[in-house]
Amino acid sequence: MMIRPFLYDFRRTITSKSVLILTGIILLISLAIIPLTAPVVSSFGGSSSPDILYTRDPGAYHFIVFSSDQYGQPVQGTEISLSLAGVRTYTNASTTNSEGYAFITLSAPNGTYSFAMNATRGGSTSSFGISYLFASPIGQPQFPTTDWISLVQDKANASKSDVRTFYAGLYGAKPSGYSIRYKVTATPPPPPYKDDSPYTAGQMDLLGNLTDYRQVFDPAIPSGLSETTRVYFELFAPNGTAVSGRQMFITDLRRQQFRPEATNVASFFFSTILSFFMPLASILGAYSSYGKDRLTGVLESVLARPISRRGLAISRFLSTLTALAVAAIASVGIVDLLLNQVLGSALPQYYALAIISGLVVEVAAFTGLIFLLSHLVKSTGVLLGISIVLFVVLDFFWGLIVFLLTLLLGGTSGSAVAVEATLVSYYANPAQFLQLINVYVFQSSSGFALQSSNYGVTLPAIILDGLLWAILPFLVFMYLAVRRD
Amino acid sequence: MFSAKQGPAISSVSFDVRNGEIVGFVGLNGAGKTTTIRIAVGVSLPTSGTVLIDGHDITQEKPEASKSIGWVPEIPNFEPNAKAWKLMRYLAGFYGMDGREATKESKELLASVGLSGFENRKFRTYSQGMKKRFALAASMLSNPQNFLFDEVLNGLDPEGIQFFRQLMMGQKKVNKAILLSSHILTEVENLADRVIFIHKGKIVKTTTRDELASYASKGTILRIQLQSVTDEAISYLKALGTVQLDGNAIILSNFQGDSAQVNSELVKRGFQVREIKHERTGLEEYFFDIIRGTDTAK
Repeated sequence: MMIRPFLYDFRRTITSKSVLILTGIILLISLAIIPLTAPVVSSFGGSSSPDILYTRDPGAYHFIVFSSDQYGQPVQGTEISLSLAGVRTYTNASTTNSEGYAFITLSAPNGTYSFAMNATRGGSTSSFGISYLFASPIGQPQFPTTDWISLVQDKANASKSDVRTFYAGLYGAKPSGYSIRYKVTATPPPPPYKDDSPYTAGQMDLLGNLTDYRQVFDPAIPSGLSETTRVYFELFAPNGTAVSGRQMFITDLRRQQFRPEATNVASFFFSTILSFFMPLASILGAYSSYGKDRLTGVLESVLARPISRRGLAISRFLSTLTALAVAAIASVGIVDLLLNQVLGSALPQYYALAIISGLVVEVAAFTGLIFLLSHLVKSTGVLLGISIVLFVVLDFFWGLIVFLLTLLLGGTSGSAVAVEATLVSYYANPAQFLQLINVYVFQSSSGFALQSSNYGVTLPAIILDGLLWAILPFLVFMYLAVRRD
Repeated sequence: MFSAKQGPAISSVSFDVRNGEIVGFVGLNGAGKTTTIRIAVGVSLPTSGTVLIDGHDITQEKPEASKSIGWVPEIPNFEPNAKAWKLMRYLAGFYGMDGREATKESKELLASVGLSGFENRKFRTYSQGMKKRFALAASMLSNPQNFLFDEVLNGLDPEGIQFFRQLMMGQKKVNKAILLSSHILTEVENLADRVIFIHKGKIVKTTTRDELASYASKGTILRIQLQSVTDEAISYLKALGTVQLDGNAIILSNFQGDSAQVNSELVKRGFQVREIKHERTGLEEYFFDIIRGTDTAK
């Protein structure tokens, strides 16, 4: 093969308008789509409804209402109105003080009531109502609307939550001697647990001691934990007994950035965008580098030179294939760089190589098909028409064809027959070769996990299929180019 | 080279072109001239037979054989959007030239065919004459021993025709072998040492320059229509050539002079001339005689 003509044809293909435009489109789409997959940090909302607890004595209910913002900081001036509706209705109202508290007593006898609260802050009113059996032990703090422990947004870090406690001692006294402990773990011991917690006080870390009704704590949470990590909180009484425990997931406390795997984004990108554009680029590139020249007679001016028919055919095929492969590799490289930039992780080497190999197979198959078709038709118009039909059928209507075949075979959408037919059909379509690779690499198809070998998708079968698609159209083309005018 | 319906485009075509010789290849349109040349150049495949270029089979040893061939087709067809000098450089690559050599050779050849100053233009912007000149330059890339010119004088202006004629004579002088095809015999009569006639895909006659010259000397044939044909008129015309009567028309063959002079002389002598029309030349008559003879023999 002569290097200068090869380089000329290579340059001619890679700088042809169709290849340049389609490669540009691929790059533009990568630039447009991939940054959208950047991790997004969403802030915690935090609750702005007042928290309530009460204790009772034989003749009255004593409520402590705490009004706070989303950071758990006290809000003064919130108008609180409470009512207990039973045989008769008891109401009372107050306004929160500078510490955010409102202390309201309803002189109602022990009984069953519908409880309602209206809180008006800054002109807007929130209401809350519940039917509640007010038969709690005398003096014990109760929480009709909220838990003793909840989450508030950290004031300095929107992706972080703090823990806010709201608790009272007997008869509504400020808590004293109570402590809160916590434990971060990804592998808690199996239940049953004593006191709702799998851990004893000695096994947990101290978060803090309660000295007020409302307190905010910032537990130390190591970074880089998995999403399944849990945090156990336990409230211990002054005598060391566990009062109440809660467990939370790490994602509740530290909002993990949603960081998609580069491989997942890339597999989507490759099996949709590149699978669509590379066959099109191959068809147009092969048309402009060989099909058009052959059918308009331009190739004869080259064939008259000291080169054999076989040599010219191989030179044109390899130069076209190399040019398109370079465009494909450049596209994969750009996608990899962007993913690395945006998601902070590059594609695994084996996956990048698999995709590049798959793209080379696609490019070789479509190039070979267009080259051989140009020996079977008589005009550029017919060649272009057939090429476009080929592209549309293999790229757009393949799924529909397979679906109809599935129905004919007695399968239904989503059935095992349909999945098998779809996967087997990938072997018969070079435009779906990347799908085949993705099914094998990820052991899933259309988001459903599967064992690919059960459906005939194995590495040797993929390699064999790739070799056949890369070589067979080329061999038929060579036969036609050497043996026929 | 044939379709199942139409049969082979050429058969029984066998001839040689020797070094230092220009051979005319003449036939009507569709006779098989271009097909023969395309097979000889290697752009078409023969179903049987052999073409040897300086001892190399164009089918079996094409690269070697093609090095010795320069082909100028009737309608040069190169990559339309390529600039002329780049195209030349590309083609030069097939002859094993490196970049510097290819550039130098391309520029020199384009200059030699009168395309200096047009090297940076795209091929598609060239006129028909310029395209032929470009094809000529491309055909000379390897300084081949053999040239095949297919209807190269078609569509050229007088300057272009003169250029190609001089070039062919120049190549002949340096011992090159040239095959020049044409469907007009008079185009090749002054150039060719031999003329090969092809008709319906078969070679029907090969003549030498001397034989051709004798027919060329037979001059033109005039068809003269007079108001009335008289012995005096026939007597006058007999002095100018061979006279035959065709109804009211006089056919004057072997005429060597100027038809306008004949007209004025007849008028001067008191004859009313209705029309004087050029029929064929002697060479053309010879050409058609050959064709007629072939068709009758069948």
